[in-house]
Amino acid sequence: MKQDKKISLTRPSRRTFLKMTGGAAVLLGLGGVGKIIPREALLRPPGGQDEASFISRCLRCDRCRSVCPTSAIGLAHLSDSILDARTPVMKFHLGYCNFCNKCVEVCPTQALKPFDIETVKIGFAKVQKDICIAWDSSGCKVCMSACPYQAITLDEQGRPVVDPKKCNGCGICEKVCPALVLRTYIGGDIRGIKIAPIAGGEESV
Amino acid sequence: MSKNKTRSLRMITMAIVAIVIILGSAWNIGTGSLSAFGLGNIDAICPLGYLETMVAGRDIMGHLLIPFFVIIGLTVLLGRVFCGWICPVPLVRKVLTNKVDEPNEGSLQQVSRDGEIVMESCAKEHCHTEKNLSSGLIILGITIGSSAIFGFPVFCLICPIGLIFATVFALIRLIGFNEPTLDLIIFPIVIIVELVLLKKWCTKLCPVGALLSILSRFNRNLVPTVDRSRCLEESKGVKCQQCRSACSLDVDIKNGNGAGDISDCTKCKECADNCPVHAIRFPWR
Repeated sequence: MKQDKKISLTRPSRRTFLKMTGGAAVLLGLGGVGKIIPREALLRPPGGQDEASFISRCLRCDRCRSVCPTSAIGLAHLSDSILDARTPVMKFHLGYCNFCNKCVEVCPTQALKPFDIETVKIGFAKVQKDICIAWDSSGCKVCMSACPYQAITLDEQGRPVVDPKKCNGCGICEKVCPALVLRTYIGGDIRGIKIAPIAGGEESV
Repeated sequence: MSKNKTRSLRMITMAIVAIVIILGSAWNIGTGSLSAFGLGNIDAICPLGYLETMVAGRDIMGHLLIPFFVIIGLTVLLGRVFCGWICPVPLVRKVLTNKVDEPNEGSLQQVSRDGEIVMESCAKEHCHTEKNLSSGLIILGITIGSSAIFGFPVFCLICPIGLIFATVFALIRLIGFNEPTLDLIIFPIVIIVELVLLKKWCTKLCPVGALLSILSRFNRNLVPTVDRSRCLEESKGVKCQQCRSACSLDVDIKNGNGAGDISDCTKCKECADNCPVHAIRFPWR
């Protein structure tokens, strides 16, 4: 028994030492690359707007994406950045957020934190002037009628304008926008109005 | 006969776990993956993921202490059952290389020699096989340290368990939402590098296994016992070593000379099934 203890405390052989150094190098390299590579702001599910806190906690466990009843939560890819791959992002062309709080409930590590439904902002809607139907012809007001927060109004020419104070980035305007269907675009997520992340998010506040 | 029986049983439990996770994801139940599997606000969280996010986010996350300690308790109670029966890695290795467990190369060489040489070399240096524990502690240190330095769970990015399910989820997204992505090629490449090219992932490199192994030091149940009166080596003086060479973690249950300690035992039952005289027994069956 005594010998057992001695054996377990022998120092690692050169081979193991090399393996360990290799492992350490891979993890340190990966961490460094993850931090250095520039990342674009992504649309996180509600409660995940503090990006620094979000990325430190997200385990990429898939629970929020899977639980979302409107399928608004999708996954970021390696093409977004190594660090963002597999993390949840909002895909408003597939669904909109009704702030049901289920994603926050299931998030095990509170990467998505409990939010105040009155003040939470996922992002805010931006009219894509080159794609929006109302901006180069006229007549379409689908997004305006769909907005539950009256954040979209029409200007004198009947073109949609977003009030950033009222918009909380729920994404229903992007979901219902018919630009892709009515015009001859190829590609599933082209819309005349899109939710953009609030640069800097709440971490600066 | 029974050799393949336990192995098939293990593959079946692994497959059941994987299928439950895949169905939960495909049907939007919100059960998650092995990183955090649960319903509602109850999670079976990956203990390593918890430690990583804890140091990365500089927050103890009190609500996770209960599941964390439940998993520690289960590991103390059952040992590394996760590695042998739940983790999808052996299942995927079976698909990739047609082998469930990593081969134990270290002891095979010794077995091929005749008895005296083994004893001789053992007395000189081979007996001082370094234990998996020491390298496990270093691996765990590197994993948690890197999370602390960079402020995010670094290992999670390349964890094969996470990537296996990530590949499945990417497939579900591809089928369900027509989302083709590079991830579907890169993730499998990383998995192949880890499980096929690095031959000793489970034994020497996996930090999850290392953590479970350390917790299993306190495990006293489900431990194999040797009936020394039946063992060929003890009763007939034949050099056998079948139990040790069958063990992918190089646990030498008879003499403790292998790189693995009994705390590394994943309860895979290969030793018992490979013993020519059935001298090894597990507490069940």
